[in-house]
Amino acid sequence: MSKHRIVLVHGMGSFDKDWSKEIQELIKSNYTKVKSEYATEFDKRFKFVEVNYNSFFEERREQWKNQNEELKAALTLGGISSSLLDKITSLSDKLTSDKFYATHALDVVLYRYIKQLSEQVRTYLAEEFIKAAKFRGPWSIIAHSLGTSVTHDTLHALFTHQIKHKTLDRHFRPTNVWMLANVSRVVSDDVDVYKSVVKPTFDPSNGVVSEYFNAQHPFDPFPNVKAFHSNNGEATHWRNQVGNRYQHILLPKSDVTELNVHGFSHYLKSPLVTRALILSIGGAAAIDDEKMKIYEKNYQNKTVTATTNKVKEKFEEISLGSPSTIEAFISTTSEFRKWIIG
Amino acid sequence: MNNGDYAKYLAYVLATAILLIANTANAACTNKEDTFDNARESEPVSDIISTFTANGCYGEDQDNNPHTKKILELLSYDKSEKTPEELEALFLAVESDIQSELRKYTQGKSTESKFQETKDAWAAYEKAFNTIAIRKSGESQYWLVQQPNLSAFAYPKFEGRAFLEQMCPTLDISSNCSNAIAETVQLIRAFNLLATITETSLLPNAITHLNDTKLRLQQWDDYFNKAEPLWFTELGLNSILEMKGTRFDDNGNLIGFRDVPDKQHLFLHPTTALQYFEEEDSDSNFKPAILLDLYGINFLDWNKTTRRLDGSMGASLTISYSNHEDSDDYGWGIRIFNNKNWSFGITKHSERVGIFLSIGVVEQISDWKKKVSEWETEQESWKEELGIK
Repeated sequence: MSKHRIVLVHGMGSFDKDWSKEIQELIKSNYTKVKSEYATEFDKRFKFVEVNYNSFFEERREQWKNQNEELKAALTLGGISSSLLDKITSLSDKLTSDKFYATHALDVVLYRYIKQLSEQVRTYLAEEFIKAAKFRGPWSIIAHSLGTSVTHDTLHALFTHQIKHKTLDRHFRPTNVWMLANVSRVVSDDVDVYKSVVKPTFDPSNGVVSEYFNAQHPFDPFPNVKAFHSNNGEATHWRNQVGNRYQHILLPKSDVTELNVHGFSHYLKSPLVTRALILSIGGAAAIDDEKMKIYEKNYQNKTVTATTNKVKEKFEEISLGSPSTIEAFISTTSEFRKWIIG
Repeated sequence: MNNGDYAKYLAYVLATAILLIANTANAACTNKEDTFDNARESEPVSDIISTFTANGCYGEDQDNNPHTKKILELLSYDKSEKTPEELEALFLAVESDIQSELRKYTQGKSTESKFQETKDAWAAYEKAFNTIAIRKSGESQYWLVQQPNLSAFAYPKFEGRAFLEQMCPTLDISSNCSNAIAETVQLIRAFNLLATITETSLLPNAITHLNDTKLRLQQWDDYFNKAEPLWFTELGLNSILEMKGTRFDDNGNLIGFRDVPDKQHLFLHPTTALQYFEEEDSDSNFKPAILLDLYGINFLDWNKTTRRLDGSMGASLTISYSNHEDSDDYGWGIRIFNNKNWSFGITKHSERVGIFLSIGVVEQISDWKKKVSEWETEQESWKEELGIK
């Protein structure tokens, strides 16, 4: 059997080649930390596939930047001034800057509203998906943020596209799809995400995913705009229809280890996500319960709440009341330094 | 050992068997890459079987159990090339027979066994089998032989039959239980073979879609890099006008991929050119100009055979800005453009008529004075040599 392909799909922002190395190392590390004696070594069983659709957005930004430079040069050379042209070049300057709205928010705008670009991105992703699917064995997708919308739209297009009245056989469908910080409900507009073919099912006639996992952090603002799993959403019914083949993982509020709760790696570090992910790709007996408990404990020690509590405890320990004497003050300084630096 | 533990061990054994069989299979069976890329559009079933036999994808002939042999027999008889539709029908028929037979066999074993543990083992397998094999029910057109998700296991102490016997309850050692386990392994082998054949038969379908996808990606590359380069606002306009989508399902969802458009709309499209007015007292009559297409249309010529962009041609209503003596800076006119980099046109500035020719990027424009000067110097040099001056 060929290795289980895991396709990693990024979200909004700037991504170069090998952007997923950190993510790959994290998943592999988590698997190794908690795997049972019955689970195969990670590298023997799995292989990552990195996709980078950001390059298409960068090409367009680069093109507009170059066009802008040409235009400005011509304006200068020709001694021409025009307020309208100034507005055009000014807009282009903004779109091609390195500011957040240009490198992150613009990706969402480009994908949502510029259909030529979204089609190009979906076509690219479709090619990567088929190449991952062609090997004998299961294959999975882990998508984050904007990548959840791109993944959803691509899967739907890929498995409904007809060539001489034949669609791609659903034998090649992914075994499981992981949507972290799922924004597909608000970003995807060509397809109703609840009524598309991208849903978990026993019967391939009804859907193109065997298992669908949706993970969301309650403090992550992006998926919260229009949560994929909500009381108003039909995904809540999927559980009744397919049982564990659909899982919504709402991370606890206390699962915060860094400010960027939206981050790809932040989601993957969460014990809830780690456990469910490894079980889904590794199998029912892939996890050693004791090792998982250790992982959870170590994680909890790194959360913001735990860190705050630690700081508080240490404060109470080294605090000697009001350091009204210089000796007490120096002692406090020394204790604190020892604790922080070691 | 209670029934729960027994079922658990059975699950381990099944998974181990799958892994063992998979890992000992020839590389040609596991490395699908070559098979995929070299797969023919239609391949006789007998060729598929021959390839598997030659590569030992399911062991030596003497290892073949009755179930595997039955599958091979059913599939090998026909040596003629079949259309994809006929292939599909053949596989559906074989799968239907085999699955039905396997299911009956499993049920039979479950009822006829003398020992309760063995009956339970077969019952557990039957349950797993029903989960593994997709049901063809109702209007479903899909038969899908799925493998159970048990392949996470790699029991390190697998040692053939001895191991199998260890998994059986002490009452049933080396008798029906171990035979049951061994037969289970054989059934899984047959199952795997069926899955492999199914996948192989579906490869042409995947290849077709992959090739189509690659071509579409090239088309988009042509659109963005060979056709007229559109600015952000223009892309938005074209997105509304040319990317509506034509195929929808019953839920109103767009289905499939959108095709590349066959034309582009230009709107407030700035571009550069060299504009010519016949003027006196000027070191050159060509001057850089900015053109602003108020509205234009560019027709894209997609080759019907290759589906690639052969070229494009269009026209626009344009305003030009340039700094000429004895003329208004602003004029209006028409621009004709061809294949992205080449355009010409005519504009009227008050009473004067100018023509323009686009010759490319800002380097061309910024170097044009230097080039003209170099050319004039070269001209003087020739004249001197020829004694014309």
